[in-house]
Amino acid sequence: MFTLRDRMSLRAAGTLAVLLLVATTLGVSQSKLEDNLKQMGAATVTGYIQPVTDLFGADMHSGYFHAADIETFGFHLRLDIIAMAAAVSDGQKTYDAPTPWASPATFKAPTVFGGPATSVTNPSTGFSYHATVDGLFNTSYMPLAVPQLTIGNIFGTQATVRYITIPKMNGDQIPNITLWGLGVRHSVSQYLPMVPLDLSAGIYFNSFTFGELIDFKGMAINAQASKSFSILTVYGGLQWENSSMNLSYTSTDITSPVVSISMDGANSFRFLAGIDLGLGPIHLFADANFGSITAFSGGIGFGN
Amino acid sequence: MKAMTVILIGLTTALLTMGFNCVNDPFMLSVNLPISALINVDQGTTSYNESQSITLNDQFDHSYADNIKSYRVYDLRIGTIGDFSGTFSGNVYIDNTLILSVTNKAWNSFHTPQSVSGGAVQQNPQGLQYLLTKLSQVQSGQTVVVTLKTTGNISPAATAGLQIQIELLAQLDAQVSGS
Repeated sequence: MFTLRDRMSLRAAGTLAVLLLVATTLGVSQSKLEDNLKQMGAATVTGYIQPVTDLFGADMHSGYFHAADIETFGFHLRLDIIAMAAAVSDGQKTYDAPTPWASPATFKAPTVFGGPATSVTNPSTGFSYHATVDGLFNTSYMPLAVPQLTIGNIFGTQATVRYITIPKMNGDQIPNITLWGLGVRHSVSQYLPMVPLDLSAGIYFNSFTFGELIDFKGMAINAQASKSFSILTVYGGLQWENSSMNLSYTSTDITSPVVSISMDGANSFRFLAGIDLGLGPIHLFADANFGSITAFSGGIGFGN
Repeated sequence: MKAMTVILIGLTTALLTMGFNCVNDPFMLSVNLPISALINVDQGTTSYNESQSITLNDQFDHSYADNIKSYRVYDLRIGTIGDFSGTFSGNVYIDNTLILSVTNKAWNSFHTPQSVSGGAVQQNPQGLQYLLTKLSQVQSGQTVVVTLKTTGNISPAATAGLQIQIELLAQLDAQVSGS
């Protein structure tokens, strides 16, 4: 029997799992990322970190729904622990970094997902210049995980909330990290009962901050469809989305000390398809998302 | 309940492993070491002569000081601040060793700092070698203080608000470890 006490214990454990993931993947390496970034001026940091904007945006906009069926009225509460992974392409491992000279003007340098830092030589002076930093993440996928609470239903409408906050840790080595997301989706099927699919539409907003350094925001609007076959639900959708990362800090590069830039994520549209396995109060789900960035999400949900 | 706990522990472990293994450690970071000076040219004068002492160790983040593996100079520049329709000439010395020279150049053409790679500024190889010696001392952990002296002439007499900007730009390669 799945009791309220069980639900609360699982919620705490799930939150802890997500906190540990975020702290480990992003928090532990966050201090390294901040150290790296402050050695870069605006001209170099954009190329180095653009893939993070692209892939993080794709991750953030994944996993919003796992079925399009929304009853018109009734109590609905579900907690999902969602893991996302956006694929790192070879093209995202290097970028054309500016040199400090007029010629050559650029050279290939690693992004945050690239390999060892490269160098370039000025033929007239013999000076060499090193790309600021090695790639930091050696991975084929950029992972992320979030808890997501869905509550409803009123007139075929549900609200979705994502929230994590991690206070400063390790003597300010790891800054405060906060993630929150809000969404609303509405049943379209209630107006089209003759359509043999469940249909919904949703709109979602997300925000993610790393201390004072990084401010990430995104919005998505999607059309959702699903069909249930006993305990198996097949779902899919089309989604328009945008994301942007604002980066602000003072660089140690005196030729470009003030960094205040905004980078847009590459993904603007996706098609997704997935399956949800309903085992009573527990759901297991997974989906694949295809756009400029390929991303996958999956996880476990508790509730109805 | 037991099965759910096992699932969560497995998920946590998988997620931790996936996140933890993807970080390159250690890695190399090129830390900026800018050696810069701002020289005032007094209004009404036709010459300038100013020295500044600079502690090289204070020009970069001390947290990297014990892990410097290599170093390099990547550019030497001179720039001007303030509007002036005349010309200027000058020499830059590091601890009395000539490193840079400018001869009879238009003041306003240096509003964007000019690099030795562009040809408008001449570099003295002995001065560069002396600077590299000082960077080597920084790498070895010594406290290094240098004096940047800038002397020269300006024609006609200087108007108000003129400054000369000297930039000797270096990198220190630090090995950074998360452990």
